Amino acid sequence: MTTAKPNYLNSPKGILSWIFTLDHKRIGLMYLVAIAISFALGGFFALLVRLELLNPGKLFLTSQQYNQSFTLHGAIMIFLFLIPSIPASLANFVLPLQLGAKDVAFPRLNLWSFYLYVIGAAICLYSMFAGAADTGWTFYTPYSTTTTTSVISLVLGAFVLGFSSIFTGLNFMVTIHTLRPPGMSWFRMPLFLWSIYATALIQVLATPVLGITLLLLIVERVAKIGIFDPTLGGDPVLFQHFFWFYSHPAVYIMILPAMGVISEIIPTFCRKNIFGYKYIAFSSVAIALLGFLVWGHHMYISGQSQFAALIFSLITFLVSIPSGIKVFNWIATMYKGSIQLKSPFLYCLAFLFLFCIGGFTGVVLGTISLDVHLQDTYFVVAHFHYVMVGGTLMAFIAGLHYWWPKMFGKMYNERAAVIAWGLIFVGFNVLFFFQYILGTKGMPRRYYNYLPEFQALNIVSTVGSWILAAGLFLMLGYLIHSLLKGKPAPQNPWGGLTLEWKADSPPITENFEEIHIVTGGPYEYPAATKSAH
Amino acid sequence: MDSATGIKQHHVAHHFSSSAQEFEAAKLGTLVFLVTEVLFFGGLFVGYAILRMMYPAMFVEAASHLSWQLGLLNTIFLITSAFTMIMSVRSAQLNKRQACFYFLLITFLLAACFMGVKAIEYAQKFEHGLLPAMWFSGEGVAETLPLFFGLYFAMTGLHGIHIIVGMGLLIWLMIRTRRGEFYSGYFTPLEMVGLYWHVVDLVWIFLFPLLYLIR
Amino acid sequence: MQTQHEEVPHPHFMIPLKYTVGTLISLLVLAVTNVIISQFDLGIYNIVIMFGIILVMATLDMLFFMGFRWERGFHIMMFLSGFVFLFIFLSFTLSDIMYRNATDPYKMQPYGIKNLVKPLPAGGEHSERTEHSE
Repeated sequence: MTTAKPNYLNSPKGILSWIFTLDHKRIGLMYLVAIAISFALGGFFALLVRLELLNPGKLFLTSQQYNQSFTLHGAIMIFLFLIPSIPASLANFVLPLQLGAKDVAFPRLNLWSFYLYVIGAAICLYSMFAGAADTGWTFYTPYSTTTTTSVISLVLGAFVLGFSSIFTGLNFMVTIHTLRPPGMSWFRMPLFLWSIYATALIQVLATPVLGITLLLLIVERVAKIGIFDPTLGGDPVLFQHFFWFYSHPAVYIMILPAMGVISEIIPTFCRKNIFGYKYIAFSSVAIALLGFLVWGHHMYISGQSQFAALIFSLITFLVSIPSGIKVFNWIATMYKGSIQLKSPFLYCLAFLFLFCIGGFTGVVLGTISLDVHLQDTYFVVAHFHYVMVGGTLMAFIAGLHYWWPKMFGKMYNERAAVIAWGLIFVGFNVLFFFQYILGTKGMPRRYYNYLPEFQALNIVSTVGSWILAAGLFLMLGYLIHSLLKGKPAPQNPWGGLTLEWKADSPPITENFEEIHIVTGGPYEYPAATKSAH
Repeated sequence: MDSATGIKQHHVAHHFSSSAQEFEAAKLGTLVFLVTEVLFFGGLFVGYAILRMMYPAMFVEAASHLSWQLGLLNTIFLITSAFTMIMSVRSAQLNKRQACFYFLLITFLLAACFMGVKAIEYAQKFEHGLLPAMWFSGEGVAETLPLFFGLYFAMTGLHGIHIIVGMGLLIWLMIRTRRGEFYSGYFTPLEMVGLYWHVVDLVWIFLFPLLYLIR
Repeated sequence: MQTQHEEVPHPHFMIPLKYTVGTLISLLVLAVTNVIISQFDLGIYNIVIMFGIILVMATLDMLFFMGFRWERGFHIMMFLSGFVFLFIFLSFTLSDIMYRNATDPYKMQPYGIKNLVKPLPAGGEHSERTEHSE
């Protein structure tokens, strides 16, 4: 360390000062490491699944192992990576900085939430070795109540992780309400905070229902209470209602923070005020609220009444409106901006491209008459990977690159970053685009075996997974390299205007030496006013 | 510590600029947490509503297996404990440490009585084999009777767990009251646990008639 | 780093004793009333009255025990939003369960899992569906 100045990374020292830290920046970093490990684990299972699908029939996994692999891939990626990814790691670090605050409202709860995450992850890991579940991440009854694999421990892990997510959301919500600096009205908040607020709303309002659902599933297996068991008079479709009441809004827990990251990066790299600030802000909240009314579109062919399916389909189309507003506003922000094609911005472009494809196919799937044919095919798999990987993961990487200099005070190698971006973007499309075609041809998801005519596209898809993995490994390489040998980062490497760029890189433990008074909107670039004429 | 009154001054945490801001954060945080509690229990109530709609006759029969006398007794215990909880907050606001402590103690004892009655009820159910389907051996007309008792144990069990957690919180409050940490200037934990206690009470206000008084 | 506690009066409100005692008494009376009414068979009114009493009790609990009568509107909205979303959950789920046995326009008989799969008649020629489809 050449700098003599103390910052949050080097003072206080010692492992205990990290384990018991109440500093939101350190907790955010610990989350980042934990989430990266989970992502690697989930990715490992993804590669296994893709490799097994190289040819029809058995390659190296038994059908049981294959089922367990895709279950673990899904459960780990959803509960351990996507849901906590941006809120718990990046937002934990950035949110108080953007507010000019010293910490989140409840620092001890923040640490608790991290340890709940660790405990939940540990239970999931235990489950992996104690006869991994083979139900798929959705745990549909009655299969999940009758299979002999370790459903209980995996469900328990997800239950604990749910509480970790609730506490994070609660904390951020209260922080945004009570700790805004002088002068920062709701409409002067950076848009990232709006999206985190909308996310927190969902986390708080939907996750408890997941909690009770999983609890009921555990009790069902232990004591047969019968609510979901048709042989006792219960209703298995009711489980799907319970499950999707959380799990559909959870999709927006994953994508809303991603949209927030994009809303931060685009104005910074276009040197231009965001177009339609209020529309983006309100569309975040609209997505969060509408997201509660559409869960039945996962259940069109589950035996749900046609009346309910009709309503759910109608509202599903409505969700595309706020999403569309956002995309139009981002593109309008770029128009006539002085764009710098740096790596965070490149990932934003990837996000826009992939999210649009994912979004449009989502509308296709929301149409009942089409969904009846496409349900549970690879079309669905491609759709949600375009939204979740192409949307959330791209935005997560974009945000990571954007705030990396602030987090560690080091710059990464930009050229390596651009190469990795190319590999990830190409690899992703090779991996998933052809799955749309497989889906429309009728290849069902989650099947171990497939018809020989699907093999060519499956091989292409598997090769894509290797390219994507290579890009991610390259990214890991140059990020670690930057920690060891990177150039020191200036205070504001990208020329951002939000408050976190007024802190040192890396920030001191107290974040700021003085209290900042906010006098205007978050993205008021001087050039923007000129170009308006 | 002020030796004359035995009151410990409260210090505002470093990331808040005033005690009012700190209180506002605590209040909002508690209310949001209670919202999650409402939804957590809410899932069970939705399950109840659906099953009751499917099997109305079975629910009427099942309620006759429950003792409304014991249920009413528990309702009285819980409502009274909510009142004594309010009184303990009020005593702290008036700087009456002794009274605050004793009101907390009464609240705790009433909660213990609630759990005692609950234990008697559970024992009766075990005796008659009125249990979830795994162990059900009771007698009844309706075929789906085990469904009700699965629900009954899930709902009252989860509520009971909340009562036990509340009792733990009350012990914590009693210790802190003894230490003189609550006074007219600072009684946030008392008020927040009070809010929690009222929501637990609220859940029981719904549970009691819905389980015991079906007709 | 800790600032000395300032003696700023809190925005706290002490709930007047008459309200708390009044609420206690009315809650107890209502609970007993509910039990008494449930002993008589009033048909559909049993459940109506029961829910009426529950709602009054819940309102009293929130207004005077939780202090919402003197609370900021925003906090109340926050808390009640939990019930709003619960209502959404319940009503949409009911919209499925209630209409699941809606009438099949072709067969003029209820849908339902039990009716969907029928063993073929011994002759094995055709289901009724073809008769109606013309």
